[in-house]
Amino acid sequence: MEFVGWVIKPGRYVVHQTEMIWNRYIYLVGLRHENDKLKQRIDDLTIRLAAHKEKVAEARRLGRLLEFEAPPKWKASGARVIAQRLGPNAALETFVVGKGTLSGVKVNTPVATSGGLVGRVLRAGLTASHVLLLSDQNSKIPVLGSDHRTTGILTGRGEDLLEVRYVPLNAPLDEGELLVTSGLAEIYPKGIPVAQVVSIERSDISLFLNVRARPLVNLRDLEEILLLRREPLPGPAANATAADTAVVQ
Amino acid sequence: MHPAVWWLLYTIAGVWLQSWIPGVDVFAPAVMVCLQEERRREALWGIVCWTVLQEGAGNMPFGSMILWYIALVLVVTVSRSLFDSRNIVFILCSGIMLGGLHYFMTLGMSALQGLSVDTHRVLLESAAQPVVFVLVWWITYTLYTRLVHHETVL
Repeated sequence: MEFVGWVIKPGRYVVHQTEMIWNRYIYLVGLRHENDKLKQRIDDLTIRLAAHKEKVAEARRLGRLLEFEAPPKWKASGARVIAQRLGPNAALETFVVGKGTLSGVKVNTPVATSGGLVGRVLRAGLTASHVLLLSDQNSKIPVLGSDHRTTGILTGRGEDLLEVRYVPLNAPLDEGELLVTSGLAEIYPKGIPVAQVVSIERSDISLFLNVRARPLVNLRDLEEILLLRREPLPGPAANATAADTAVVQ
Repeated sequence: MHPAVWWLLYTIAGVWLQSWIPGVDVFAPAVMVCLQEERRREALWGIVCWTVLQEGAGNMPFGSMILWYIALVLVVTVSRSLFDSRNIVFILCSGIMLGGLHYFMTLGMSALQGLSVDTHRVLLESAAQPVVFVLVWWITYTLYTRLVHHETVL
C-alpha cells in the first residue's frame, strides 16, 4: 500500500501540474484573444464617440442658428460652408457655401449667423456660391449705432478689426456701442447686428472720426450660415383675389 | 492607367489640395509635366479645363488665369531651348517666376478692376507658390512617368 502511495502520489502530482500548466496556457491564449477583441472594441467605441461628439457640436451650432429671428418680410435658410478661398484667383476674403441659384440664392443675398452679419453673396453658381466677408477691404456696409443712431460705412481692412468711415467729428458714438445695419443700401435688412465699436480717435487732419470695430461673428471658423432672402411680395393676382373675397363678404 | 483617368484623379486631388493651401495653384506643375513629356494635347486640354475650374473657384473677374497659364507655357517653351527642362533648378526657377507672377498679376488685375486686396497675404502666397510648385511637380512627374501608359502609335 505504501508502495502504491509512493508511485501514485508523484504521478498524480505530475499529472496535476501538467493539467495546470496546460489550462493556464489555454486560458492565456483565450485571454489574449479576448484582450485583442476588447482593444478592437475600444477603438470602435472611440471612433463612435468622436462621431457622436461631432454630432452634438453640430446640433449645438444648428440650435444657435435656429435662434436667429429673420427680420420682417425676410426669410432665412441654412447652408454649409464647403470651402475657404480656393486657388490663385481667389484674392478676396471669401468662402464657398453649398447653395446656389437652384436654391434661390442671388448675388448680394445677405449672409448672417445668429451672432450677426457675415457678408453677402458675391457670385452665385448653380449649387454653390461665393460669400464676400465683411472683413474684406471691398466690403462696404451702411451701419448705424444702436444707441445714438449715428450712421457710417463699415468697411473691412483685411484683418480682425473693421473701420467705420464717414462718422463726423461731432457725432455721438460710444466705445462698446453695437453697430447694426441701417438698411440704406437696399441689400441688407435693417437692424442686423454687425460689429461693436472698439476705439474712437479724433483726427487732427480729417473731418471724420477714426472708428475701429470688431465683428460680432468669428469669420474664420464658420461651418454653417444663414442666407437671408426677401419674401416675395403679394402679386396683383393675389391682391385681386383678396379684394374679391372682401367684396363678396 | 489611361491619361484621362489619371488627370481626372489628379484634378480631384488638386481641388482638395488647393482648399487646404489657399492662393496656390497646383495645376501649373501638371502643365509643366505635360510639356516636359511632349504631351501637347494633354497640356492643351488640361489648360482649358483648369482655367475654367480656377476661374470658377476664384473670386476675381474673368481673365487672370488665362494670362497665368499662357505665361507658364511661354516660359517653359522659351526656357527649354536654353536649359534642360527636367533640371530641378529649372523647376525651382519656374516656381519662383510663378510666385512673382502671382504677386504682380493679382495686384495688377485688382487695380484694373478697382478692387483692394491684402498685399501682405498675396506676398505670403507668392512665397508659398515655388515650394508647392517644386513638391507637386516632383510627385506628379514621378507618378505620371510610372503610372500613365500611352498607346504607342506605329
